[in-house]
Amino acid sequence: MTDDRLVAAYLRRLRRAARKLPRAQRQELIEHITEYIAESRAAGASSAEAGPAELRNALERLGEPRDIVAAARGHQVPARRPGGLEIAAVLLLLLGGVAGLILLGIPGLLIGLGIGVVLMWVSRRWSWPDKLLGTLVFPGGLAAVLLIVSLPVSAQVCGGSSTSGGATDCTGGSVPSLWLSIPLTLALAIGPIAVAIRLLTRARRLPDPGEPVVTGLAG
Amino acid sequence: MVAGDATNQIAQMRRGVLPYCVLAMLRGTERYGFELVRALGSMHGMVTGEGTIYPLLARLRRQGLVGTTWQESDTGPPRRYYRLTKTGEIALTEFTAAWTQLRDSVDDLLANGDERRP
Repeated sequence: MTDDRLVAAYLRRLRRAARKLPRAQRQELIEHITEYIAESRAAGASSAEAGPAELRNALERLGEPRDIVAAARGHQVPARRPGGLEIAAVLLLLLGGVAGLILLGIPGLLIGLGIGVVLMWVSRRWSWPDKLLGTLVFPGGLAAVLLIVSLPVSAQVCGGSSTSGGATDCTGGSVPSLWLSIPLTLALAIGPIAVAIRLLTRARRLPDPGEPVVTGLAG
Repeated sequence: MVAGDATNQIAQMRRGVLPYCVLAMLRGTERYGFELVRALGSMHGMVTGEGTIYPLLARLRRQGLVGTTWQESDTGPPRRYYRLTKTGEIALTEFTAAWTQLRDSVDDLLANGDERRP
């Protein structure tokens, strides 16, 4: 077997053993092992005993892929569940505006939105770009979508039809506006829903490399 | 405790101290992954396969005890260098004090256990 095929076979076994690891951890592991092999080949190329024997020796020193993966499992940091704070923040960002709007009108919308935004910025699970995204798409979440769709669309359809015909078209404007507003609402709703899903996923993610985690080292 | 169990116990102890050995190897110096792994792998009885050290390095990085930077290499691909962070230094200092104390006590007991009756 040539060197390249030897390496490919080893990496294939590693990938197969590692397929149950979380994706980020699996990629990192494969990257590390690939680095090791590249380094040992670079070192081997300059030594006298270069060749398949040298490479075989390096792979032997690396150890069995399943042992490496077992070690990776031992060092696994379990995915964190989003805390109550994070869940409350995302729910309020998405639905707090609607609930506030129904209960208290526009002030309610602002209260629901405001609390959601504050909770999100207080949480330490998200990076600031994520928080900015949560603040901007869209302020008020689904309530913003309802407001955007309900106001301008009916006016636009009404105005558009009035240029072609007379004022009579304006009364019928509500029917095409309904046809327009349903897909438009769905399209707009994708924004806040996607952001909510992203925030929930990111809240589960492993802590940033820079963020120290104060736990025991052994494990 | 049964006879022959010592091997098992030692293996567990080794697993427990390995992270601190990695930190100790980075005290005052940066090392790239391959260098670090080879050095630990060459230490008698420290690890079984050198590949098993990488997951530990990844965890130390996630925990903020070591930091990494990429640097160009003259002989091959760019290298990921590891260095001790402030948090890592503190962890290492704490461990060193605790370890020294424990080691002295155990050494003393193992050598003179029977002379220590009150």
